[in-house]
Amino acid sequence: MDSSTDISARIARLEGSSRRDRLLGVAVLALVFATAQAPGPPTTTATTTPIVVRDATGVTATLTARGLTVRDPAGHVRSFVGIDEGNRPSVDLSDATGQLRESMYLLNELPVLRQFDAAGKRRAEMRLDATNDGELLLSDPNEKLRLALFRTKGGDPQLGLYGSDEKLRAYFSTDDASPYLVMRDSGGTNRVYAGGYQDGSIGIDVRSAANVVLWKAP
Amino acid sequence: MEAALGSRLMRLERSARLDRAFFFGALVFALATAQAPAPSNGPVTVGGATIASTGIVVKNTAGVTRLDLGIDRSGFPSLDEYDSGGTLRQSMYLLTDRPVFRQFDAAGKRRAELFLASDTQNGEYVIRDAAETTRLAAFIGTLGLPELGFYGSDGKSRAYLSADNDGAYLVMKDANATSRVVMGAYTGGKFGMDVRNAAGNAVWTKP
Repeated sequence: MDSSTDISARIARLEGSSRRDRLLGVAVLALVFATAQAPGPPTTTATTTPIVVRDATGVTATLTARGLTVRDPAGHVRSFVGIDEGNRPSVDLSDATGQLRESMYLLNELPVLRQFDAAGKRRAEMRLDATNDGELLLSDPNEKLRLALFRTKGGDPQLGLYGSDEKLRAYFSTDDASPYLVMRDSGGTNRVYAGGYQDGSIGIDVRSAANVVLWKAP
Repeated sequence: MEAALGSRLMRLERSARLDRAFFFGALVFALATAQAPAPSNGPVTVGGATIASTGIVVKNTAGVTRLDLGIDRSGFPSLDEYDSGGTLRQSMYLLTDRPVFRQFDAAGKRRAELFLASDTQNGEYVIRDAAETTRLAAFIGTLGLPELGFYGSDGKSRAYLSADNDGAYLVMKDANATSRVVMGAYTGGKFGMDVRNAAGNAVWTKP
């Protein structure tokens, strides 16, 4: 009797254990099939884990929620497309040292294409200004503006040339009446004027450093 | 009776071992395959977009590459855009670490570009004709002076407007590259203008 009772207890325990294990196995299998099986054609795949694609040379592409980053074998970021650290949509290209050299992005929601020298200085850029007018800007190694193509506040197109002090030396522009070319000295005085004057006449003059007309025609 | 119970017991014990093995097998399988995407060595393709180690390539339904971004075959980081025929039309890249933004016509000719010069790293904007001859350039020259230049179909300068710290000057040249009109600041600080003949001799000077 004691032996039978003991065996019955063992059987009951084993039966319970067996049911539980089987249930767990089926549950795990169900989880596998529900979440992890061969990718079909999903309309959306969401993951919080970056996807990294790597080749034998050590070049890697990493897709994250922010965008796609490509690194060279040294680990330097060489190209990026996505939302940058300032939350701006951006395409960034960096040189072999990892220095940013070219960037196309939206700065304060205004489009900019900017090129940097090896020291990281802005040297050339195309952009829309705050009034959404196009500009081309060239700067020297000190980031001083030296040449600009843009529209003035009045809407006139203008080419400006600047000295190393970033002050205008020449500008060539036009309004609806006539174009004009102005050349200045280092003191900011107009020394040569050619084109349409404010009174509507058109001519040319040369002035002294004191802004006195030395010669004028017609 | 005991024999029957013993038989049931043995069967159950065997079944329990199998079930346990099955459970652990399923668990190992789940852990091995069902976790969040792990780093991949191979390209990932979604429709026409493929992410490889060197970047992303997007093709249209005809299989023509329309955009790629990453590191190009030469090892330069680049963003390239192609027309529906597969011709490169716009590229932003670092050519030996020199930034270039370049636009191409349908024949693949360079027609407009903004770049930093390889020697000075000064900025240049250049417009070229269909023969890829430069016809207009806005740039900072080797001396660090800003300049706007116009060029003939021979690629030779016909006019330029430039400035140093002392003043600005405009020079117009003929087809033989002789300066025929000069206006603005002369060397020495004088401002004025002159017109010259084909030999380069001044025939009219003011003031």
